[in-house]
Amino acid sequence: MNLHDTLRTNMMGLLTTSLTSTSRMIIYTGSKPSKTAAPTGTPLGTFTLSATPGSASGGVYTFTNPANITAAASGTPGYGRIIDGTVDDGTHTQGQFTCGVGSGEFNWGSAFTSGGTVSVTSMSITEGNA
Amino acid sequence: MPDLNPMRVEGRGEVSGGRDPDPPIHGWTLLAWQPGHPQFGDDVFLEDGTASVPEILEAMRGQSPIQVARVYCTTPAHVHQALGYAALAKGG
Repeated sequence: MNLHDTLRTNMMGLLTTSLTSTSRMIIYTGSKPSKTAAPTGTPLGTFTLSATPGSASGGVYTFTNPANITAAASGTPGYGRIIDGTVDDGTHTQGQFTCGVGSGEFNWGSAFTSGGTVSVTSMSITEGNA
Repeated sequence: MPDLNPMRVEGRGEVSGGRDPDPPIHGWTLLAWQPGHPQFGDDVFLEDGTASVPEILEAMRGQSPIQVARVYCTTPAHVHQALGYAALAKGG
């Protein structure tokens, strides 16, 4: 099915509303659990997303790169979550995605090292019915 | 209901600096480390948070990796990585 780009953009634009003005992106080790379950694995880092996390255009939601963070632990990124609010207990998951080193939906340049500086260089979600 | 195609997430990120244990755990995808961890101190631990590498090593006395995995509610793959890392650390 193909959708009008305006509809696709409007759909993706709802992410801003769903994430609210206080949202986080958290990176964990291991395999992703059910999106409604409490997180599993070791939290490697938590990004604070902008009050308006990004914008939609042409059916693509492009996130504003969040400020760099300091890695909380050393480990291999396995999955990430975008949550509304600050507490990740499974009830605030707005999006969940795979991570990897050189692979995954979110592709990291290397494993995390405790105390290292972690930066997001790009992130987007594309509606798939162009 | 017509079929809809999935959304596509694309992200990229970089990590620089920081500290790793000795030997480093890069490539050991089922292990993690955090200096001064509230439960595991400075020990390398299973990324699922169920046990440290020394705890796994201690539990292996007379037991198989499958049995140890069952005791700690983790997977045999995690136990195998802990043993492999311990052997590397001892050899180093």
